[in-house]
Amino acid sequence: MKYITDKKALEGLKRAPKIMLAGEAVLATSESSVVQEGYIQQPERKVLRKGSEKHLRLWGKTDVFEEAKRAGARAIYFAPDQCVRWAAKQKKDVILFFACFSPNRQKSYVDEVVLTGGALELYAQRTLPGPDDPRFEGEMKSLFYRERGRLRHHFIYYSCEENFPKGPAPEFVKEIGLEPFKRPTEMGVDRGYGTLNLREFIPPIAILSLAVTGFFGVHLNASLEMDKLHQKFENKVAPVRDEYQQKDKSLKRLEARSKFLNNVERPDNKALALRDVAIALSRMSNLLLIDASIASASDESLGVAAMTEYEFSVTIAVLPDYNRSSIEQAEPLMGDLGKSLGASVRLKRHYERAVSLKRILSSPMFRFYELEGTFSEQEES
Amino acid sequence: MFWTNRNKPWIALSVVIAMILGYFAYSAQQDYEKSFAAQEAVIKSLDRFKRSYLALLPANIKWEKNFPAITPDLDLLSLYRMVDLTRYGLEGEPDKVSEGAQEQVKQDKHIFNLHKVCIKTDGRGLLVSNRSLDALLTGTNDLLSKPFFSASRLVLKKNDNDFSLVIHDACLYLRGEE
Repeated sequence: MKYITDKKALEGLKRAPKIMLAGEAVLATSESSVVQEGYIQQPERKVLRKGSEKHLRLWGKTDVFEEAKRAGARAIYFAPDQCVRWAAKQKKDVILFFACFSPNRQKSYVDEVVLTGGALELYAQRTLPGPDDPRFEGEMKSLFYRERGRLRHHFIYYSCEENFPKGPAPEFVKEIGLEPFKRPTEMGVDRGYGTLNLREFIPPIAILSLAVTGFFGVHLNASLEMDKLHQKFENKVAPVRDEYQQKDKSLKRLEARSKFLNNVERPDNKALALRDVAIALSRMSNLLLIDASIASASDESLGVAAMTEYEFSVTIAVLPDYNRSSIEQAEPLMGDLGKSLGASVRLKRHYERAVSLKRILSSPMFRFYELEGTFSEQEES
Repeated sequence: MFWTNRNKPWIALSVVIAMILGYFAYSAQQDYEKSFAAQEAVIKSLDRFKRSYLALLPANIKWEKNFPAITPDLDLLSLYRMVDLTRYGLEGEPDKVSEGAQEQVKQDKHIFNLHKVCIKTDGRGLLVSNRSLDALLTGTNDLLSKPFFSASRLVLKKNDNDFSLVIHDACLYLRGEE
């Protein structure tokens, strides 16, 4: 027995290596052809197509399942031809294919479900005679004529449902690795034609959609954020940068000027130091200041160095009326003077000359006494 | 239900895309952070510049205040008078004023529009005197504290009636025209 819907479905069946095709009868897929024939024979259930040698057979539920069992079918699977092709591609091994409505008629079919609902309900409630009922043929014929053959699919489906109350054997289908088709009521308005594929594709489509959305979302968001940041940056920086560009040279000049001013404005203690020297010496009543000088050792370096070293030199003359005690008093005074000028004072020749001074004290004549030293002035930081 | 043979490649593809997206997101975040840090650094740098500039701006005022400008009618005598010794209680010898060295001031390779012009009334420098040693030294100290005046060496002498002090390399800083 072969159940052939159309050429495409047949090709799909042929590609399926393990599809089991039951029986030898041919069931026309076209509802219109069945309707055109206008014959439903019981019990043979053979319909001779007008002008054709092919046998047409309309199947009731018992026929379907009995035939399926005989053929060794493990499940009854009602599917449109796309599903058959899919099943063939998936290399499923149990498919009993039954006639499907053609894709281009799906819409009208769906629309007409309501019209056929009453009849289906009758059958479901078994108010419609069963296949073994003598009234079956007449009722079925009546139904087919009334519903113009569209009932067939429903009829078969209901048959299926009765034998597999939870639908087309979901557990069994799962066991053999097939995705169970949804019952029409679960498929919603779309009766399942093509819905199966959509549902299967929902997860990857959803993930892909999310991924693409996320991708663009992240990049769009990042782009917007970067734009905002850039704008913020521009707004904040532009005035300062312009100022910088205009005043860059000016800043360098300012820095140099400031440094120079800082150097020249530094209090110069040269004269103060010299004054200290002079005043100290003037206290030595018996000594006469001849010459005092002070100079920075760094020769007016404009204070580039943090430390400025001064050299000073004091020359005094020992008066003729000197005496030993006055000289002896002068020596610590000179020492104090050195200390007053800073801790780093070095009296270069003080003691040396003092020694020589003492040596010549006996000579009643002017003697020069020279004090030299250095002191440092730490520049305040 | 989703983990079927049919869905596996899609899910794998989705996972790969998700990983790529994750990488892009991470990369974008890193770029964002880098850009943010770089811009912040620039902003801080410019802010520092601005603060430095504003802090140093008074130097211009001081510059003009501290250093007299060179005028077209500037001569040797007016240069001597610019020192204004009497203001510091010092006596000088304007009749003997002569011109010393002149140079443009440099500092740390920076050439200022500032000229160091030296004068002298003695062979060695500017001679100032006072009867009081203390007044002489105090006045000299005041003079030396002025930014426009510089000297290198002071030599004190005791004369018969007063004290004198030779200021070696007595120079004035004069600013040129901007």
